[in-house]
Amino acid sequence: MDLLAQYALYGLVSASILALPASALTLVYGLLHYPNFAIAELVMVGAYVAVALQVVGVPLPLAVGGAGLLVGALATGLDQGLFRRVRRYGPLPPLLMSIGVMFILQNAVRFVAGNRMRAFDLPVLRPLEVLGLRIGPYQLVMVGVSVVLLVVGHLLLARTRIGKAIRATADNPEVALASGIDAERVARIVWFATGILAGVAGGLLALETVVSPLMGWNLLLPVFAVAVLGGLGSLSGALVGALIVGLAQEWSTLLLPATYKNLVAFVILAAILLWRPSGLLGRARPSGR
Amino acid sequence: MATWTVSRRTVLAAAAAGLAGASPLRAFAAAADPIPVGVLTPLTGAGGPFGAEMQKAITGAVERINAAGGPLGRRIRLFVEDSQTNPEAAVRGVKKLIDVNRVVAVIGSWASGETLAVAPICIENKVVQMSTSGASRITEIQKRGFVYRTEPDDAFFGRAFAQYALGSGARRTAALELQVPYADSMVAAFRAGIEAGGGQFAERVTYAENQPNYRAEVDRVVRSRAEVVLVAGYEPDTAQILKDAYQAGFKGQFLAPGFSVTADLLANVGRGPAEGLVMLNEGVAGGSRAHEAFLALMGERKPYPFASQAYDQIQLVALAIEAAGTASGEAINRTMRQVSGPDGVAVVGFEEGAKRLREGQRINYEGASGPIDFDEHGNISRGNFSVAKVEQGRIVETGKTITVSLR
Repeated sequence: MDLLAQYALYGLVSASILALPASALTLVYGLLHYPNFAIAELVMVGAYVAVALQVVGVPLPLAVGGAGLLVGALATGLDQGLFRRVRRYGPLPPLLMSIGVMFILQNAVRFVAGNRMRAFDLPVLRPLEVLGLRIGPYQLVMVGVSVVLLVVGHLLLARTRIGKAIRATADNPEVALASGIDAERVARIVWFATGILAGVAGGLLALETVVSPLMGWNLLLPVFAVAVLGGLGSLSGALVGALIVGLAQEWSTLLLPATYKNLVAFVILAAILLWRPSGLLGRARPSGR
Repeated sequence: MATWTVSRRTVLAAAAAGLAGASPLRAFAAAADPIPVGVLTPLTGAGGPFGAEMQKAITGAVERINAAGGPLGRRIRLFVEDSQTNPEAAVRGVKKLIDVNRVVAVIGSWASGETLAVAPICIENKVVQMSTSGASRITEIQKRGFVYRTEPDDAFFGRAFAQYALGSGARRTAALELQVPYADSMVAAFRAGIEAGGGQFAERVTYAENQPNYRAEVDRVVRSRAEVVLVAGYEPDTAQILKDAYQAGFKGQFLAPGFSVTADLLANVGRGPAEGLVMLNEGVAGGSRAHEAFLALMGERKPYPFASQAYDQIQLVALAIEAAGTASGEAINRTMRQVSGPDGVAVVGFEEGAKRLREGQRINYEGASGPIDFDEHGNISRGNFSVAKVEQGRIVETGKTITVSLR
């Protein structure tokens, strides 16, 4: 029982990291109807930016926040410079382009920063013990920041004018356009938001792992599993998917060797897709077309 | 053209006649001819930094051997090829060494991939081959003779860790193991060693590479209440495990092979997690006479363990030739175990060893990398490991060594 609770806690930490890029993936998919394969590399860039800022003396919260803003700007730039130009040709060209961007980002970082592993210049801290459960101070920060970001994102989408515009455009771009919504502006804002989510996720991830050019690549499949599991295009689906994958992966190690962790995520994914191809909280058909 | 052909035949015939007539003379000339020995080390690729050092050690040793008169009164002449840490380049290199330079031995191959590729060629041509590769699979090839290695097999590493753990008074042990062959044989040997020594092996956790964290894996080890935990992996995962273990509140002792811990790792994981980590490095007989002689030859920078092995390889080849009385691959293969020991008078270099051999004594070469006693398969039957520790964020040699014997 103890063990189950402890691993649930670990699962929560994993979920908090997966939920951010999965939300970013699902946001772009919901609006523009193509999956952005470069999302995990944006997380990696965020991790490098945050570490670089922190190592030269920027306080940690500012370094992580700065990573979010910079990656947000990068994401918007990628959309405006590249993706926007092929958007009108349907989902396949931007999808392929995102794969290209993925490799370019990975190798650009490798070119600039080298293959060496890097980490925050922070002391590694001993865990806190609460009710017999252990959790590291940085892990608390990761979960906390992630939850705040997701709640804020949800409120923005549900309660604000721009949120309404995003939802309207996602639902039916033609009608949205006809009612005077600037679709390009909506796209820019969504891309900026995905960049923030990915950049902050990178900064948070760097709190507990060593940063390397391959970290995005290693994250790509779990992030896709989470987004597809929850239902591409559904923000709350991404959250539920992250929790399921996070918990299942950690709990599976109680029964199976830890090397099967990733396999577990994909078995769940395959099962859900068989039973409900649109994902847990996805709509029966992708909206808009 | 016809005239040319005739004239060439004439020349050939004359030459043949000359050679036949002068055969006693030629035998005399051969005795004074240098003995060709091939050096096949990586100068480029992943093994580049090691190969350059190995070459320096071999060249320096040959200068001393030749200054002492050389084996059978002949000089050793080295032919060097770059293996490029690439099996294909290694094969091209070894073919040139054998076909063109007619070497009697090829020493220095570093990566297991290189060794596995060139060893069969050497066996076919009856040329002795010596490597610093660790993969257990090499033993299968070595069973056909001619091939030797001075690097302890991965299983030795595991035994050495077990010996260290038991020596430190630990009762309960565990291991975290990356899913690669080396780790598998290392941990299996560790477990066997611990259990044979009366200790407990509580948990063996295999992990995949490139995970963002190893919390669940580490947690199992923490919960096993092991006092000593062996981490058999490579640098990135070892770094992450040290961090995760610290954050999980693990207070026991970590052990790791020296090649998975670098200064970069220490910088990345920070002070706390790596502090007290114990590493074993292979192939250094610190404090021994041979090691001192080797260090004097290498200059101020601390050499990697492979250089001391390369130094020992050329010494052994020279001594085996002296003991055999002829310079051929077959002769070296016949006498290699006679000069490597363990029986006989301990010697630490060619000059000393050759003198004993000429007095009719049996010798036992005790090298810079360890005692080097070859077993029936050409593996060293005793491995020598130096113990290093992380203290205040730096790797410090403790001066302790562990010797492992599989018999």
